[in-house]
Amino acid sequence: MTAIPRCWDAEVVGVRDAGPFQVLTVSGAPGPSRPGQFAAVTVGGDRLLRRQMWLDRTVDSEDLLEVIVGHHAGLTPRTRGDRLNVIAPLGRPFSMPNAPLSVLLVGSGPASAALVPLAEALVAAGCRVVCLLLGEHVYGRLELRRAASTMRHEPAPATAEQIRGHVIDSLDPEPDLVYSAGSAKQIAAYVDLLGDLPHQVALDAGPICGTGVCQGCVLPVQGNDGYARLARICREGAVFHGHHILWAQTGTDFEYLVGAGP
Amino acid sequence: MNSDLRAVIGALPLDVAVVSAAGCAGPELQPYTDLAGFGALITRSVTLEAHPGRPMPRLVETPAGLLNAIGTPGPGVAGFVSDELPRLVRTGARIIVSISATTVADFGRVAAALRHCDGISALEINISSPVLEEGVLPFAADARGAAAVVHAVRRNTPAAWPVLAKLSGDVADVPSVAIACRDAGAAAVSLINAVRGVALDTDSGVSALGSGLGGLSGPAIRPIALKAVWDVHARAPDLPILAGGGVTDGGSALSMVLAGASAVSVGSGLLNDPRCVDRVTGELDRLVGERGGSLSALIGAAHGGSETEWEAG
Repeated sequence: MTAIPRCWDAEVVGVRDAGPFQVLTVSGAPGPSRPGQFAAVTVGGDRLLRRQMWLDRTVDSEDLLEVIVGHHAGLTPRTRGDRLNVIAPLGRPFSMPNAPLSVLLVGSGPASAALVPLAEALVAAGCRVVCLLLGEHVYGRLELRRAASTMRHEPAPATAEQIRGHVIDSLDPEPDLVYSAGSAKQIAAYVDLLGDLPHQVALDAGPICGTGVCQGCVLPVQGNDGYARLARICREGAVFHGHHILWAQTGTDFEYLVGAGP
Repeated sequence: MNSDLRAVIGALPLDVAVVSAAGCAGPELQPYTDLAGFGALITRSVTLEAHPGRPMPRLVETPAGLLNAIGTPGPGVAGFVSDELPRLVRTGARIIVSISATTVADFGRVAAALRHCDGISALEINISSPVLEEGVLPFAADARGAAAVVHAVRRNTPAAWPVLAKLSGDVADVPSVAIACRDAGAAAVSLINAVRGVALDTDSGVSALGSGLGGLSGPAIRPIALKAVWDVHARAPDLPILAGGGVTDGGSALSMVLAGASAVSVGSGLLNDPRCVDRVTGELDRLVGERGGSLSALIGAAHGGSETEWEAG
């Protein structure tokens, strides 16, 4: 069960520093969330769009929410008592395996934060969790070390070939399924290496309105009906089945999708 | 509500003089706000054929503004009539349909395809899109071109539906275009569309937007919108104006009314906060209450009886 999203002025009631990130506990949440869901948070000042902040583990009290904030996103460090406007919980959560499987998590950059509550839930479900983190701005470096069975951190892979090499190494032995988090461009660099493995991705949406009305975070997907169309990361995602995304076309003109679109 | 915020745009009565700008509200906002409480909801621009919209990136933040190159994504007028319009009508909102095309004839065709639909209160013709092919100017750049579109749409639209012409703020003589639209049958003008602009990615040295040129909206363009409203009201005080461009609070809405607007539209503000129309309405209610309680009595009040334009000095 996840709650119906709402938009509210939240008070920061707790702050935990985690490297380049903060985990903010905010009041007034509408109810529980699940791994892969996120909040859309205002930045303040003269910035009009919101930032996608991944939700952390569920806390004891149902009206509290833990939001993982990266300072890369334009939010200055927060202290208790600050107020933020929050829309949450948003998005489709990760689907969880119904058996204790072998799982590979691949996180690239700030979106790796989406994998933290997922890793904890997978371990709690008895899964063997291997984690590969690519990039320096990785909240997961601190948090996933606790949850993952095996953890590899590659701070600064400079080229696509290096990234692919790290992914190939992490696929031996082959997992039962793979979860990725990152931007579409980051994941597109290695997604072909996963072959037919079941694969879910949590995508970085960039600055967003958080409701889907602006249509500023679209990417091409293959629908269950076989037709290609555009999906909004903040509305139809941010978690997708990896095999539904048309990775080669994410950075191209969409004119071939006439008739498509949210 | 403490004040009388009713407005009339041409023959279209609005219970509240605050509407959502084209493409900035839809059923997606229903968890957060009551769309039926808006003065009206203006749809995203409906085109003759389906369009996927522009390539990514489509949005860039700029100081106090947004530069967008979304294009006009949508299912085309047939899909709009069969799928989108019924969903919008079910929200209980008063619906104004924005239409867009690249030729005068296609504007007429889109209007004709809508003419038998229930649930439409008015049309807004988008003749001022800032994101067109390289070297192509919008119809609103020129009084004659703008009037031709209004004629074509008016001919294909039920008499009961007012037609609003949405104009550009970055043309030399906005009032002349507005007056040409009025004379061609527009009941009102909508001022202003996003202003053409560019943002560069300094790492790559190319446009930060997937399609190069964008349209700037938000508080950054508020003074440009206010000047357009002022000038049009000065030259054509009887022509109703729906004013938008950085309206994000009661004060900015009141400014537009004092400059000559009959009602205001909220666009980028809704992308920041889905409750923005409610906030603007509440604040405007208080501000109008402090000034006699009637919004219509304040339209153009800043002109003080003068009809001279502000000239650049």
